Order: sequence, then structure tokens, then C-alpha cells
Amino acid sequence: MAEIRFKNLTKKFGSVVAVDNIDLHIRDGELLALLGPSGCGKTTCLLMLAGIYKPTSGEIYFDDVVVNDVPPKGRSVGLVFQSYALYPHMTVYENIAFPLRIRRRPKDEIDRRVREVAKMAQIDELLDRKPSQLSGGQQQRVALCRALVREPDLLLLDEPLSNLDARLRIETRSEIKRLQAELGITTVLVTHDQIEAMTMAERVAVMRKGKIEQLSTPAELYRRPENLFVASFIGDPPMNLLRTQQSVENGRPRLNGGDGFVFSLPAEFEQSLAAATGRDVVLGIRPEHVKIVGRPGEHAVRGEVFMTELLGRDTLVDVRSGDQSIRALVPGDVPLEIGENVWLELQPQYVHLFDAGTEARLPDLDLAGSEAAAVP
Amino acid sequence: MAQTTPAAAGRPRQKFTISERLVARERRRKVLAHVLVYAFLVVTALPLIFGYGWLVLNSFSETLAFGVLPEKLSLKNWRFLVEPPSRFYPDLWRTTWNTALLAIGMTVTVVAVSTPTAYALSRLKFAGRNAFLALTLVLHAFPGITLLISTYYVLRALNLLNSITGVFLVKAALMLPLAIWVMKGFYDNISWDVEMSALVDGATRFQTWYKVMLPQVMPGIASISIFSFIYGWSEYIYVITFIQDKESWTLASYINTIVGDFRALDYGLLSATALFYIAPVLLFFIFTQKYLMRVTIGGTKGGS
Repeated sequence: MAEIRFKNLTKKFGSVVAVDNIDLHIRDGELLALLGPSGCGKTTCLLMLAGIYKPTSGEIYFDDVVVNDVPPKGRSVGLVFQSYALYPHMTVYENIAFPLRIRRRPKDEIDRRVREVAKMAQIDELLDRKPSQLSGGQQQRVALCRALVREPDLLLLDEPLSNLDARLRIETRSEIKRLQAELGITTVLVTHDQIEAMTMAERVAVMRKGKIEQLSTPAELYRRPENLFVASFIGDPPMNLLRTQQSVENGRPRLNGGDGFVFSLPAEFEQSLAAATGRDVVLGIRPEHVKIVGRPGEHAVRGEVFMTELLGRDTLVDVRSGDQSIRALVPGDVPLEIGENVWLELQPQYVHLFDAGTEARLPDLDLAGSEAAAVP
Repeated sequence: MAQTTPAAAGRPRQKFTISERLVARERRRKVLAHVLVYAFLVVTALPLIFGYGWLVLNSFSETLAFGVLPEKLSLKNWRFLVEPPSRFYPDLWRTTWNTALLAIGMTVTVVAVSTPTAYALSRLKFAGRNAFLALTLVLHAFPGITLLISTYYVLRALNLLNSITGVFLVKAALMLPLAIWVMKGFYDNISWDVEMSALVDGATRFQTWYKVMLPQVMPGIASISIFSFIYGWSEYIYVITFIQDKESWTLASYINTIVGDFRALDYGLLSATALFYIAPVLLFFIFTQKYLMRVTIGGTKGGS
């Protein structure tokens, strides 16, 4: 097993900076996800870990050893690709045995370990088949077996579930997680699917344009996004982000969103807003924290129903309020007419405030912080 | 939906008869199209069928009435198999062996050179890669015949005139651009993921090529081998130009001599030797055509 460290890690392809001066510590036995849109540098990180790419500058440590110049065969790494990348001319058995055979391990050891790992992944019935005779889910298991058969120090998963159908994805998700926990192998999962990252990983590093935007637990990522990018990237349906101007009226901070959209915050928020004095503020609130109420209230804004979408268990209601569009996720099938006037309650303890200029999260209030933490 | 359902239910029978008539008309049209296509193919194939038919009939008869109908069946024309037609000819089996040597030598050279070259062009980044690719394409477009005289000089300087080796090296060189492009297409079709997997699994670059890539481009190797073999076997102009020594004759020289014999041209002998020359290629082709067909599928995709 190993712990992994990136130190000022940078990778350039010509003039394109794919990974930009990253520091990262992956703990021993941890499952860490690199999450981000395509082109954010997550796969480049993975291939540097595998030894396929060499860093342009900075270091990668496996435990205390710098592995920058160690070729793939010198590292103890297992890799599963999105495409599975099975060797089509070999049987399942030969595929799984390949990493051992190439290292000239004794025949009986190879046989024992191939059968062991195949049994664990429940593909021991398929050892004589060719990859082309397998379903996507089975191929995925073979790829996982091939990566695990020589008990690597580090397991790398590149979008391992993207090619599976929805039902199988949910099953495999928990299976991989269980397997990883059982074997205790340090694992890096690369994905663009936030649900995959949030459900499987212990910690998630959200990446954009070669940089890590936030590294924290899935819950923290959801509750306390550190900047606008993470706030907009995490959560489905995405967080409402309303650009507003701040002002103070009767000693209470107000956010003015244009054309009559005005939202008053409790006085304590003044402290928080002070960090962005004179600048626009982005008010963020998740659709599930927006309540539709019948009458005006302290933290309510007026709006008009623009669109409703029944999602099954919940209904997504799109409300226009002044220049702003706010989406609310309400349980059940709500009887709302398009054009109907409603009041939306934005509960202050769920409000996220960002500096529109720096895109950073404004400092949380002690009060708001403790309240938010109290809510599961 | 609610509106269309009752309307459709009102006249289901009529709809059914219309579609039946349509189906019948469609079927007639299809049959007619088939008849036309086959008629066209038969007419265009007739000259070929006639030519080969004549060759076979002529080789097994002493004379032909009106130049087509065999009059007297005999194996006289096939006597060259056991004894040379005249003292002027070398041993037939040695000549056949030379022809095979030329074909096999060319095949081995083409496969041995193009397989690693195409891998490098498909997978490695190196200075001059694109220029190299463009150049091979130009070379392929270059008619080999224009190089006949200069190659003659080169072979003479290398002391390779009058030898099968000289001819198959020249032929292989001319074949290589095409072979490299075909092989590159096959390599291009293998995903990078597979190659990276092999590296991560602990293989060296060479092991990756040998154990993972090569088995996957086998159909490509099969196709260029077959092409090379057939080209080598049927080579005429280079053999006639570079080889005078009877010891190194191939079947092409043999037949050429029959045509250019000082006596009256013996069509019976010519037909028989021609059939003897064609037979191995035909047999070879019958057994390998399924591999040849793959060239267009695997060889042209992503060949940029």
C-alpha cells in the first residue's frame, strides 16, 4: 500500500497547461476522486500516476520515493480504463494473467491468483471466453481483475462506470467501493460524474483548468462549496446562483437582484458581506432549500411560476422573480399554474454567498455556520 | 393519439389492401433489378470466362477447330512437366522454385520492414514523421517502371544482377509504401488504452508491441503477405530485365521464352505453361480471399 503526494505538479503539452502546479496528498488506503469537466486535467493526473506521462515539473511521491522517472513497469499500479482496454486476442484468463506472466511468475502461482481474483469478481465461469463474447459489465469486471491480480499499491480507475447502463452502474459502484475497502488499496477514481464521485469517494478533488478548486469530503463539498465553480458543478439540479448588488437598509443587509428582486438578510450577515464591500455578490441557494409559501414572510421573495417539471418524487418549479430565475425542488406533485404568483422562502441558514469578482466564498458567520452544521 | 385512433379504426381493411399491392409491386421491382444486375455481370464477365476457357481447352487438345473447339484431347502440351520443350530451356522445377523464392523473399522482406515501420509511424512521435508519411505516399504513386534503368545500374553495382535476391529486394522496395500505409491503418485502429494498459501491466514497449499489438494486426499482416506473394509470383518486367542467367529464371522468363521462341509459336505449350503458372496463385487466392477483403475494412479507416 502507499500514500501518494503531488508536489507542485505541472504537465504541459506544448503551450497547453493540462495540470497547473498541483499539490495533493492521497492517504494510504483512501479512495479519492478527481472530479471535473472534460479537459480539466484529471486524466492527465491519472496517466502521470500510471507513469505513462512524465510531469513537466514538480514531483510525484509514492510514499517517500519520487517516481517521476520510474517507467510504468517499475510502479505497482493497476489501471482500469473507461473502454476496459482488454486484449481482444486473449481469453479472459490470459487477460487477467498477463500482468503476472509478463513478470514471469511461477505457473501455479499465476493460476491460483487468477482464479482467486476471478472468483472474487464472480467471473470464474467466464475464464475461457474471449472479451468480445462478454457483456459490458463482465468486461468491466475482467478489467478490474486484471488491475487487481498483482495486488498493486495503487489502483487507478478512469471513468470505470461510464460505459455501463444505469442499473448496472449503481450495482458496480457499491461493489467497487466494497472491494476497495476490503483490500485497502489506495485508489484514485477519475470521473466527470458527480454522483459517481460523491457516492464512491472518501474525499473528492474538484478540478478545473488544471487546478484543484476544492478538496474535501462529499458532504462538505455539498454543504460548503468554496467557490462559484464548485457551487455550480456540484448538485443536481444545480444550485441557484443569483447575481445581486448589496446595500444596507434599516441596519439590515439587502441583496438587490434587479427589477424588483430584493432579498433581506439577517443583520449578522453584514460581517460576511463586508469582505466584498463595493462589489457584486452572488447569492446561492440549492433548489431543495427553496420553499414555496403562500404569503409573504421575512425571508421570502415574490415571483411568478414560469415552468414546472415533474421529476417523479419531486417537482422542479422554475420561478421568475424580477430579473432572476429561481428553481425550487418541492416534494410531490404540486398544483401550480404557470403564471401563478407565489412567494419563495430562502432560508438564511442555507444561503451561500460568493464574491462575484473573485468567485470565492464569503466568510461564513459563526451563527450561520453552526446552524448549517446542525442541519444534516 | 386520441384523434388518430378512431380514424384508423374506421378503415383498416382498405389500408391493408393498399399495402399488399405496394408490397407486390415492390417485390416485382426487386426481381427485375436482380435480373438486370446479373445480366450485366454475365455480359461483362463473358470475355474473361471465354479467355480462361480457351486456355484450359487449348492446353488439353492438339488442335482447335475454328480456334475454339477442341478436336483431339491429349496431354501432349503438358509434357514440359517431365522434360524441357527443348534443350534451350532450364529445368522447370528449378524455375518454379526460383519463382517461389522470389515471391517468398518479397513477402518476408515486406512484412519484416513494414510491420515495425508502420508501428513507429502510427504510435511514435519523431521529427520528420509527417514528411516520411507524405514521401511514402509519393513513392507509391511513382510508376516503378520508370526506375528500371537506374535500378539496373544499382543492382549491377551491388553485384545483384542475375539473382533472385536482387529482384525481390527491388520488388519489396516498390511494394513497401502501400504495405506501410495498410499496416499503419491497422495499428491506428487499436486504441491507445490497450497499449497503455499493457505498459501499466508491466510490459516493456517492445513486449507491448510483440505481445499485444502484433496479434491484433495479424489480419493486416495476412493481407500484405498475400498481396506481396501474388505480386512476387507474377512479376514479369524486372525478372526479364535483371535476369539473363537461366539458372535464375522464373516462370515469367520461361513463358516469355516460349512466346519469343525462334520456331513457330506453340500455343498448346503456351496455354499449358500459363495454366501451370496461374494455378498456385488461384489456389492461394481461394484460400486467402477472406483476409484480403479485410484490407478495405481495417486498412483505410483512420489512416491519416
